[in-house]
Parts: sequence; C-alpha cells; structure tokens
Amino acid sequence: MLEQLGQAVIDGDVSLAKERTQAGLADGVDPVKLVNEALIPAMNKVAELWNEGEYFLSDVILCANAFSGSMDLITPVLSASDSKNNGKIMIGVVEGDMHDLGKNIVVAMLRANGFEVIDLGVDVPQKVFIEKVREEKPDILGIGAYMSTTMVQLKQNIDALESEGLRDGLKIIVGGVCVTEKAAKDAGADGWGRDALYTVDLAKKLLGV
Amino acid sequence: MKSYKEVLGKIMAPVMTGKQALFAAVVTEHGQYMAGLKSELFYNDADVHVEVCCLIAEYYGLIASTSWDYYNFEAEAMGQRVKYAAAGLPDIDQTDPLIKSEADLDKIKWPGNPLKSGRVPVYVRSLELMEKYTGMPTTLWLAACSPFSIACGICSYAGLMGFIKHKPELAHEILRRIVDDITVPYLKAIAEKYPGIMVKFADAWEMVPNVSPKIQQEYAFQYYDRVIEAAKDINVDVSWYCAYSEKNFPDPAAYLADKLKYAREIMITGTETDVVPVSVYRDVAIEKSVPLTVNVPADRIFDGPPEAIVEFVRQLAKESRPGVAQYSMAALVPYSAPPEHVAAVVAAGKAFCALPVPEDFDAIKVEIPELKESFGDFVRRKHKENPDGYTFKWLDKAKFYGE
Repeated sequence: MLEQLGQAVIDGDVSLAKERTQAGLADGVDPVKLVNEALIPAMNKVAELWNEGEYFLSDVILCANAFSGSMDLITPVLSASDSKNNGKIMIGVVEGDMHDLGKNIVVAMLRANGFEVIDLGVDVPQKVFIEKVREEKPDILGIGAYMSTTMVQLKQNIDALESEGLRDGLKIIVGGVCVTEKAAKDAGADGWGRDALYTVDLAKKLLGV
Repeated sequence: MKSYKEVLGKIMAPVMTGKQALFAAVVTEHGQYMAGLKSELFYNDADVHVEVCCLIAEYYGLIASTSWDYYNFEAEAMGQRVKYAAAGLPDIDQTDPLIKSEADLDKIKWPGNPLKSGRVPVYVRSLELMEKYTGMPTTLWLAACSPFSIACGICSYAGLMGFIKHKPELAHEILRRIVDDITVPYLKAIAEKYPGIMVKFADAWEMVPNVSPKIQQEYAFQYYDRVIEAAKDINVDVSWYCAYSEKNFPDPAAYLADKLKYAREIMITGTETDVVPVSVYRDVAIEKSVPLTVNVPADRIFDGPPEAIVEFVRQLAKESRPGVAQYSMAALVPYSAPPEHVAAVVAAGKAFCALPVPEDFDAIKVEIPELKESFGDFVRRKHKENPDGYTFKWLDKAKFYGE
C-alpha cells in the first residue's frame, strides 16, 4: 500500500495519490508512516530523477501537486508531536506576481524535508507579509518574485519588515527565475534560493538542522 | 529642440552607412519604471505606452521599440483573468484557469474580430503610433503568442501538464482549437490589414526543461506545423521559441540547426552561455548563413557595475562576432535597472558593434556617458517644446525615478 502511494506521487497522479492516501487512512494506517515511508521517499525519488535529467519541470510540478494533495489529507490527522519539525517556514510570492509554479515545488520539497510550511500563495501584499510574520513568527520567510518587474518588491518587503521591527531573528530567503545572488544580497536577504533543492539545503543550514 | 525622428536619424546613421551593426535595447519595462506609471495605464493605452517608449529611447540614445505582454493577448481576449499589478507587465492568473475541463472547450474562441478584441486594438495602434513618431515602417512584423503558450495561459501550466499526462486527447483538442479558432484567424486578420507582415511567436512555456523534448515535439512543434500549414501565405517566424533550451541537449549545435526548420535566425537569449559556449551559436549561424542576434542578459545589466557591464559586452562581442555576416546585438534591460547601468550597456553595445568587425576588441575604449539630467527633467524639457506632437496626457500621473 505504501509503495503504491509513493508510486502515485512519483507518477504525478494527483487523484490516485489522494485516493490511496484516503484508503490508507480509512484502513487505519499510521499517518506518520504514510508520510515517512511513502510520501517523503517518493519526493526524494522525484528529486533524484530531476537531478539525473530523467524528469522535467512538467513531471516535477505534477509530483509536487500529488504530494501536496496527499499531505492536505494527512495533515489534519497528524498530531503536532507526530511530525518531524525542522522549523517553521512561511512562503509567498510578491504582490502583482501570479507565478506559483516554482513556489509550489519549493513548498512541497520543504514539507518533504520536515519543515512546517505556511503557504501564503501568490500576489501577496506587503501588509500581509507583515501581519502574517507578526502572527506566526516563522523561523524563515521565503519571498518569491518571478518577473524582473516584481523583483524590486523583494527589497521593499524586507525593508518594511525591518521598519516594523520584525527582522530580528527572522531569516529571509528570496528566489525566483530572475533573482540573482547579487539581487538577493542587495535586497537584504539572508540567502538566495537558487532552486527548490538548494533552498531546502539553505533552510537547513540557516536553522542549523 | 529636435524631434525624436531627427535624433533617430543620427542614431541610425552608423547602421545605415555600414559603420555599425544593429544595436538595440529593450527598455519598455524600464521606461515604465523611470516614468513611474501604473501598469493599468501603461499597458492599456497606446499613446502612453508609445510616448514613454520613444522618450526613454531618446534619453539613452536608442532606437525605440515597444514591448508588450504579447503572450497574454489571445488568452485575455478569450476571458482568461489577467492581473494588473501596480508595476510591471500584466500577468495571467495561473491559479484561475479559463479551461478547467472538457466542459470549457467552447470558451476557446475570439469574442469577435480578433483585431477588435481585448487589447489587440491597443497593440495595433501602438505599431501605427511608432511609425508616426519614428518615421520607420514599424508594421513589418508583429508578435503573437504560440499555441502552446496560449494553452498554458488558459489551462494554467500545471493544468495543461496534467491534461497531457492523464488526458492527452483533451490536450490535443485544446491545441487544435487554439490553432484553428484563435491563432490562424488572428494571423489572417493581421495579414489582411498589413499585407506581407511577418508574425513572430512569443513563447514562454515550451522550452526544455519546462517540458520534455517529447512534449515539445508532440504538443508544441506539431502545432507550429499546423499553423504554418493553415496560414501558408503568411510569414511566420518562430525565432523566439524555446529560448534557453540549448543547454538541455547533449548536442546543442545539432539542436540549433534543427531549430532552423522554424526559425529564421539564431538568438543567444541570455545566461545559457554559461553552459553552451557562444562559439556554438556563432558556428551554426556561419554554417547555415543565418543572422545571429546576441542578447546582453538582464541580470548582468541589473547587477553592474558599469565597468563590468562593458567588459561583459566586450567578451560577448569578441566571441560572437568573428565570421558572422548578419549580426545584431540587443540589451535586455530589466525593469528597475539603475540608469547608469543602462547608459553603460548602450555605450558598450554601440562600441563593440562597430563595422568593419574590429580586429582587436581589447583595444576598444568605451566611454560611459554621464547622464546629465534626470529622466523627469528630460521629459519636462521635451514637453515644453513638444517637437514630436506627443499627447503627454500621462504627465500628471508620472512619478519619475529619483523624484
């Protein structure tokens, strides 16, 4: 059963992954087992296939969606102590930018690596970043911008967090297709999320896990 | 004060007299940034868009061009939601696709005459205004969105990938309808209005590794063939397709050569030269006797500093120019590039595009001009005498860079 669920994720079959997750939960399979022995190994396999050039972005996004679909069913039945927690990460795409592709993959990879992820979605106004950071107190804030026109908001958001007194103790990672390492540094971020896998390693490094 | 048409004559003179290969810079988004205008206005009003494009080009000593979010036009006209942010290009809302299932297929249609639908009339008017203000024939070519990218726009990228994987017949039906009911009627309407016009396809989505080569072949290229077959009398150029793809193929030169089945030139689009050497592009252009266009990537211009930009362009020209008969260079200026970086890339681009091809690129000295007045002051000076006859109807809404 666990193998079949993992395979559904590797195949990027969202409905089958959800169906198998529901069946597992209905059969009384430990939700922790579903995550640790099916979903996480499946996403690790997806990462491996991507690194080997076997999988393309079109495959990875479907796998990430299948993973997230299953996690959405499992998360409500997991108790806080059940899940491994490497830290709390909040992530969102800046206002006016509707690109959720890269962000969704990052979210899935972070969850697969034991992070609690609060996904603010796309088109997130500056005031929402501020309110949510104040409310949720994440360890890391990830801000995405996928167009050169919206990239300028990375610095504006970070500056706003600073002036609201929310920057201390908060690590910030920025990323997106047009964001360079220098742009990340100029924006005042603590790290540059070059791609989804690199972002996972960076998050671990920043939090010392 | 001279009109831009007169200034442009001077900018064009070295190109027209064979002293310089064509150098251009895409400064549309940057112009919006420098003028501080909202997207809703800048991307919906041809007068505003073209006047700012001409003014920013004149400010930096460039040949003016317009650049729209061409790839959104067809989808937006069909009813796909497009978000206008305060700044920057309008963006399709990928979270709310128009086509979610088979039940939505009948939404794939123009609401009426393509040239009168959505923002297409604004785009067409912008071409005519460019012709008026520059004196150059600007209705020689027009951009349209490729069928594959339209499909990603109306189904969302993830949605289309899901259809391709789990409902391939539906994916094919969507693409067939896009070609037959959207792209071909659009091309025919354009060709009727501007006989002989060339249509270039903008394509953001079909490149590898966004999709596998198999998907590219079956769902993108096959539908280019269908367009070309259905619109035989229309010049179709697919030069813009699969940018950045080369690095994903084991034999980039063979891939580039294959690409010429659809494209009329080879374009080095950006940072892929880190992986595929410039010489690969150059050699294929020489072997196939096709034009080569080399772009200075946006991140280099954004990062600067000016001296590093000059050295980057020097190296790029040194590697890409020798032996290429039809050569041009373009700078992809990002939205919020510092003006001094733009001045540097313009100076370097012009210097390293000199003809005949310099024997020693290292001996060329590039003087980066100092920007003596702000863009705001320049625009106000132009407004005072208005030799071009611009409307300047946007001036009270502008919030100029640095002010």
